[in-house]
Amino acid sequence: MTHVAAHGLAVDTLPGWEARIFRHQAADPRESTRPIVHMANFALPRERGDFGGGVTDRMGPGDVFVTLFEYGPESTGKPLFAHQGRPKLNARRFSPAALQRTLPGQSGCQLFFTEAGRPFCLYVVIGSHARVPALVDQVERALARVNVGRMDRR
Amino acid sequence: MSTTAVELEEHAAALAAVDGRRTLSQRIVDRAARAMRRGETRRSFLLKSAVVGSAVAVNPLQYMLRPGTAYASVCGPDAECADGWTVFCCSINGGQNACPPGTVTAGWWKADGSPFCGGGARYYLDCNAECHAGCGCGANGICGSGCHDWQCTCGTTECDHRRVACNAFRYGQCHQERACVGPVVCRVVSCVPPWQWDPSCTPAVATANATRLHHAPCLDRASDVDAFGAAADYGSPQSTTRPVVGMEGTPSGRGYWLVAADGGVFAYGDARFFGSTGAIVLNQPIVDLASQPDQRGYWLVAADGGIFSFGSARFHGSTGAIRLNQPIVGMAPTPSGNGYWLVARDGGVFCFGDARFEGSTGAIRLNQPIVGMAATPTDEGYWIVAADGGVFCFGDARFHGSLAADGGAPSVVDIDSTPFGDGYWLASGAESF
Repeated sequence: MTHVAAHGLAVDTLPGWEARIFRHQAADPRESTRPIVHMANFALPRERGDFGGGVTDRMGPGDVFVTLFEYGPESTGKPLFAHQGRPKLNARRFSPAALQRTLPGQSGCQLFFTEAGRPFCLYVVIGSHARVPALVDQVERALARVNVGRMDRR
Repeated sequence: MSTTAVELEEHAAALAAVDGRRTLSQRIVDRAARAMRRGETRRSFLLKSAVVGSAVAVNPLQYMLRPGTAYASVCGPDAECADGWTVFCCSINGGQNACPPGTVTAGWWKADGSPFCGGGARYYLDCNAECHAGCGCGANGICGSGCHDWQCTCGTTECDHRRVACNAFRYGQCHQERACVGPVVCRVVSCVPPWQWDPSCTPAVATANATRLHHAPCLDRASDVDAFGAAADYGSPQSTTRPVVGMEGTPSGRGYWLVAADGGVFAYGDARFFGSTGAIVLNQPIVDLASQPDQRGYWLVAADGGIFSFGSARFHGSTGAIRLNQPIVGMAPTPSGNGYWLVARDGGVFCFGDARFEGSTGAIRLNQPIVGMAATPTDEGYWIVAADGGVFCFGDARFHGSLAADGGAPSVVDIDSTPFGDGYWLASGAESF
């Protein structure tokens, strides 16, 4: 088990899982870069798109990739983030179409919500749609070990 | 031999002169020039040579080693339906790099280091299907297949066979007032951050560098020239390997030059070709062209303010020794030809030679960045234009109209005036700096 924490987020990983918490450097001072959590039950490649570019095309059937992507304070209270608290995962939330990049056989789930006053998107990719029922509980256990704290928004 | 074939032969000769060997690019240019002499139409020739040039620039190894067309290489990697990405809007929207009817921008991402944006960031906006009234969705933000007017299919235009309305995903920075949208129908691209021209988009950055080489031929075909006042339209390129970034009218008023980001120069009407920076490795992309009053030379200026002189044009200084707050985006010559102005993205103006300062937009809050400038024939004023087509007048420059009220993605790249200052052209390109 590994503990990582930054930007008001903390993760205690499940055995066999990896986690990263990061925030891009803004190339333009008017850009808004927000914290991002990546988790996976396989070794995360160094070069990764925020929603799994360069990762999901390498996944096997039993692999799971998770993104927790935070939006800026201007998004707080918007209808897209109306759901309060992190929704629970279940197999019905997954679909082969719910993917940023629809690769054959894969399955995805994307949820928008507000937690601790912060707007988020949770995006989960499982390497095989057929494996969703078997893996979704493990994903939920991994997410239960992600802690979102309140922080001063800038 | 046509003017364009002469330009290309000179370009090829310049390449050979630089390194003494026939490069791949030179062989391709030579082949294209010979095709022109065989009687091809100007438009078909420009299209073919530009597409070949794009293929070499975007995917040189694949284009050379694998059987296939230049078009296939122009679309870049992962252009087939099974690759899982979404099509470009211009491939399904009549060539328009814009969201088609029945869709709405729902989010965006950027790819750093894009060759299509001079090595800077390229921005991709997803156009998601609009949901029918009364349709809801869960926390996933996506309405079901019976709640929008699109069907999942594969693109069929040229080499862009990517997906249409298949991916039930949203990046989420745009139109957050809409809890529900449909799947991604297509994507728009720009070198300008979306939050600068789509007020529904927040500046929360998402990055996906794996898409940096995704492209489509239709993205290279959207260059155009709009004329105002007494100015006339003499034509524009059907296609360019790099975006058009600047223009300059001839002193006679019967032609103009267009310049691309790699320093490629296109001459129309009575404008003549005197050279380009095609054979030079540039530190920064070219952003504008300004001509001599005798029409026998011109300058090219790069984003760092570096100046390249051709024909009768002489060097009068640059911003090379100045630490710029914002990159240079345009230049304008004085009527004497013994000086020029440079303008930066924030509207700051730098004067060289006999050019005099008449004002800048430094104290004005700009909606869009400045993209170019043009001087009046009296040497006592100039116009500065923003990416949305808004025009600012200084000194004795007079207002003749603008595109600022038209809306849509900002695409104006430059302005140039008629010889008497009684009108001006605004040039637009598919992707702007």
